[in-house]
Amino acid sequence: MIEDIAFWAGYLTNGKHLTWYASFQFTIFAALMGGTLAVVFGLAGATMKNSRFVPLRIVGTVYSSIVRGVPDILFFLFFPLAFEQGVEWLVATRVCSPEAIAAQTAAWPPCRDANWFLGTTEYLLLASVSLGLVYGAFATNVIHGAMRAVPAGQLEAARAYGMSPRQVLWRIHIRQMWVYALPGLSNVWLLLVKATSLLSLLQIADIVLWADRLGAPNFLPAVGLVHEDWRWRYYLVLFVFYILVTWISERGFEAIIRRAGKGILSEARG
Amino acid sequence: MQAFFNDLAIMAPAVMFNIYFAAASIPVGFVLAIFLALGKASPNPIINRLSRGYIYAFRGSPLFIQFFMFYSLALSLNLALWKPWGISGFVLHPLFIGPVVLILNTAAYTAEIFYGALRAVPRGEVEAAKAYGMSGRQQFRRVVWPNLIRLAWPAYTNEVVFLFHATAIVYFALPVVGAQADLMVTAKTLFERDYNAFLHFSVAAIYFLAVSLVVFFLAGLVYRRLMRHLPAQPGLNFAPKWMR
Repeated sequence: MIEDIAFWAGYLTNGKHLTWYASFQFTIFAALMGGTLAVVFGLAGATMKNSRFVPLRIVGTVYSSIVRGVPDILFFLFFPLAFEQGVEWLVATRVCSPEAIAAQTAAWPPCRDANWFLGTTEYLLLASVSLGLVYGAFATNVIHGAMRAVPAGQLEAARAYGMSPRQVLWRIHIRQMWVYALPGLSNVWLLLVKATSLLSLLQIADIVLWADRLGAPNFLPAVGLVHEDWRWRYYLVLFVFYILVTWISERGFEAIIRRAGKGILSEARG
Repeated sequence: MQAFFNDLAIMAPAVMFNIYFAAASIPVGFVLAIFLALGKASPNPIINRLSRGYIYAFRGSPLFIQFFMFYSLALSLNLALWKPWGISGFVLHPLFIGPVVLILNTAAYTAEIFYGALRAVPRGEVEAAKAYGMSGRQQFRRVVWPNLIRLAWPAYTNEVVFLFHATAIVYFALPVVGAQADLMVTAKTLFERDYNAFLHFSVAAIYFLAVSLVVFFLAGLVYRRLMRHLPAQPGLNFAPKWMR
């Protein structure tokens, strides 16, 4: 019995498993960074969508409807690839000599010096930005609706106090919008958390990739514990992990919504 | 421009796989969702807990993980079950296991929509049905269900489109068999050939957008049919109306 416990404790803390536990940092970082960026992009998008200046309005509307209209994974893959190519193209216009371009046989990059190698850190940042862009489009919609739900009297009062449009927007409109936006933003956050499982597609050694490696069948005693295909057990752990994260997020958002709704008519809390 | 039309032609068979995955999972998921929604509303504690737990688990975890989990589970059962029964080629085929996982997933999301609608069915109508002496089955068939589907239809339409979008990750989790590649795999292979991200991914996006619009249009027709008892919304006029 004791031996069993000691064995499993040893197995679950071997180097590979510790790397797996450490890889949760990528997922958590992508979720938090992506969530923050999504709110930023959502605020920018909603402000543009509310703008009186028509081109800005069109940009905001097109952003939120196009990005929501295609699968999140398509944009999630497209953005980092396109960004990398854009940077390489910019670098190529500076560093590539015509001879180097002529010597290049591969289709991309234009010359060897323009190649930009992306490591885990760069991919993680790009993945966060791309999560932010995708779910920022959803947040744009939520925040846009919430901004229209702010009572007009509040804005009129602010204008009557002599506030400039910018002050009305920042001090009154956006501050009061949160109560109406929080339930929708909580849904967007839950979508975003679930999308963080896709990080392995951008060559980040995240929890999904490590679960796959750890669970793969092993028949060589020299490599470690001999076991058959255990991948579904490791995926089951991730399955439970994401359910727990969802549960904790829901409780957290409930608390925030209750806190933010203090002193505001209860109908706003929905 | 030629490259654009080439891509359109290359991806036309690929979109059929996405449509297949969605079309194969929507009808079964729909029926399963009705039972799950009724289960979540059921007073029986065991049925209630089970349906609640199922819906929460499948809505609270990523589809990507669900794909990996069920596929590796099916793989590990291969030697014990599928091989002896001689159906391993069938069970482990992405065209079978893909829709299975999608059904499990969409049933949970749809059940939540139906459950919300079920709770919004006017209480007075159900009481009137009871007063008429209808049996439980009759109440559901004639009073609850028609109300429920009308309330749930717009949200259900969104869920269908989301499911269609979710078919994009099927082949990132399951093996691609031969030339059976869906839109995302095709776009990625084309990208790896000539590194033209803007062209290939945009064409895939156009296909996704186009199918989504078709789904919205068809669902709109169904919704009009469901709502035919209400006076029609005044439509747009393309020519001035002189007589009223």
